Amino acid sequence: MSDSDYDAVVIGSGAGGGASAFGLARAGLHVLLLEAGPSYDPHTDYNLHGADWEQRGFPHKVEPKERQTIAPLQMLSQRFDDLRSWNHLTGRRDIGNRREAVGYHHVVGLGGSTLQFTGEAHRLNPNSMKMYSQFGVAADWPFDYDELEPFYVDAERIIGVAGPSDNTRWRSRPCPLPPHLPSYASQRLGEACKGLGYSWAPNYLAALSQPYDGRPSCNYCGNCARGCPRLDKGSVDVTFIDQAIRSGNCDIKTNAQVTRLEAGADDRIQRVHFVSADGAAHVVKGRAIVIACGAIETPRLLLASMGTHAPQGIGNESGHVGKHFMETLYWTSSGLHPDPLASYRGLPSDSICWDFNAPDAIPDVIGGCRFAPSVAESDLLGPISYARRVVGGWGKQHKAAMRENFGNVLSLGAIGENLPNKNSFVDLDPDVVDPNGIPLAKIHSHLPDHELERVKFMAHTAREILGAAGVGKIFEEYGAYDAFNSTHVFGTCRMGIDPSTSVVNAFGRSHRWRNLFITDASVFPSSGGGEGPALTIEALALRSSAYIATLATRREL
Amino acid sequence: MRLGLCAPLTAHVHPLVAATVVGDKNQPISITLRAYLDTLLPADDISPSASTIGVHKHLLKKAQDDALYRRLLLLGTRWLEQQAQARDPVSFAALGEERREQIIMLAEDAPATALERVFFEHTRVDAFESYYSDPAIWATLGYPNAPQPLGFVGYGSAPRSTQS
Repeated sequence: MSDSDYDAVVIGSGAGGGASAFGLARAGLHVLLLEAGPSYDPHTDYNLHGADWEQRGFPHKVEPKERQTIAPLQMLSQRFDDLRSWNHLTGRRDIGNRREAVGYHHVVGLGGSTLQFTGEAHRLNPNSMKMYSQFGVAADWPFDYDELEPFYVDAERIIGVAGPSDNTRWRSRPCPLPPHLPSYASQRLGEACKGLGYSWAPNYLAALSQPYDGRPSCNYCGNCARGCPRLDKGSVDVTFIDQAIRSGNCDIKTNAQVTRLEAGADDRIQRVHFVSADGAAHVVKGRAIVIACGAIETPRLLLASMGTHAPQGIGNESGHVGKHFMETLYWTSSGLHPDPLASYRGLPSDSICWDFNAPDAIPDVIGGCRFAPSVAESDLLGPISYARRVVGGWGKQHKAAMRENFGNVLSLGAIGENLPNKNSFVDLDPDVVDPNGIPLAKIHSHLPDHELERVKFMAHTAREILGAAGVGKIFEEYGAYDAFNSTHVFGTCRMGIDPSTSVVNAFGRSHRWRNLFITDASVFPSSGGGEGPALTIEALALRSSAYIATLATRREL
Repeated sequence: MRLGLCAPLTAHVHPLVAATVVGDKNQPISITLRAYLDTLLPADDISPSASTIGVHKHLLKKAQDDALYRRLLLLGTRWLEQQAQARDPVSFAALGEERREQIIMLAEDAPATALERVFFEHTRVDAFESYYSDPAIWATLGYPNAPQPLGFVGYGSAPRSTQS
């Protein structure tokens, strides 16, 4: 064991941790970034050049599904039968009458899940930050959008976000880069939306529309989710972390699994315990401890760090650590367009319909949603997926159908608000531990009827838009109703003003532990109306980092 | 019996599996497998058959590395031969296309847990993965190249005709 001292120790290197490390290092603090997984080399790890590209998904080096357990999920009811997942060749998802635990999709590695994300770089709808005061649900964010806006600008500049520069999404400054041209397939969806009276705009994307900061522009291969070998996608490793390293103030340890925070009697976190790849135990000290492990692993670490000075777990004085869990509420419909589209081309989610994003935009349902192309998200990009999921069959008819239909898939996906409820939470699994003896996080998920009514609207609208685009018959649909299958997770360490109902304050600082900060989506009091959370996490992390730097300057940490 | 064709497959197999092959008077596995795969993915005016681009080699390679899969191929191809020879003393590979299709349809329609159905489902997926990973086949679908390094820079325009 060895002791080292840093101004700040950042745990986790995804959107929150990477941006925190950068923000703190930029301010001149000496930072240690601890990442449980390995690093990825975009040039050699991502497999998009070979003939077998389609058989290779994202090249996980650590199996993410083995890191959590999921409690038995709810029974399904006939009332929402229309929301069951199905495929025209394989039939309905064969799971009986209970919702299936597919998993929490994330990446364990330097850059976290941004290595695999499709790059949506959204600002939150300001109205989604006032869900309690406006609608009596979830909780209000403890500050207004205007306080976050300068940090959105900062994050967008670091990443090189491409998008429209009008003020429809509450901007004080233009996007750093112009928007991407929508793909030919997305243009068909845009025409359909226009015909239905819906808007359809270029999406905000962390993918370069022009060369930027030494990185090339995108060449529209559509496979962001398999990892970007060009470095044009603004994942955290090639943006925030790269700049943190260049500052000279940031050390990085990968394959460093943090096992425990050690609390002291002075309301400070004294040490961080972690295990390196060789199994050796280490201890490190930091004046500030910043946790950014995501809304599943962050509460796990806090709860597993219970001890004499924190008998209910660190930061859990209010009993709210792990509570208010929010997941990805999603729906996707896919069908065949009669005309050749070559829909494997272009950026995933290159366009978006924001019309139902506001919390009161869906009739009779509180909480919004958004719609975007979803061919890439559905992994309907190559011939193998067509053979298996679209065309099926075999023999000469199959081959003729492949030639007739390849490239013609049009998909539309929706992501919606997920409101917290008492049956959705994260705690420690009493029966399963990791190789270091630390209990795994256990996910409890429940979707009440009002959530399913939102999914119902998402499904009906997706079908409506596809129909208007010329899709005669939908061949596949899947959604959150019958499967817990989340990428975006939120809310388990809620930020707020009242220490009795929240875990951290408006700057992500623990209400009790003076040098403990959280900078991931676990602090979100509400999920937003389907916005991708990465940019908001990064903006929050930059805001918290500026605050930590100020405290450090004043010697108030 | 031309066992040499399946030597790579049987070189290191469990004695029980080897006995299945050696003791069987039917065609060697690779001949049956080729005929089966060429029925699933036959040649036509535009694109070649599965075996022409080596799909059978892909499956046999997988069998080399996976004992369970090896057994599935052995039992599955034996089932094909049994069906073929139930009516006439002719191997599966020697049957006409229509009769081969009829036998495969029996496997496709069998109960989900039946050997022939399991064989069909697994090998069809594997055949698709191998066949549609070949750039020569991509060309017949109008799919121009792997995603990188070229990408799809003309992505905003209508696709060019694919069958020229």
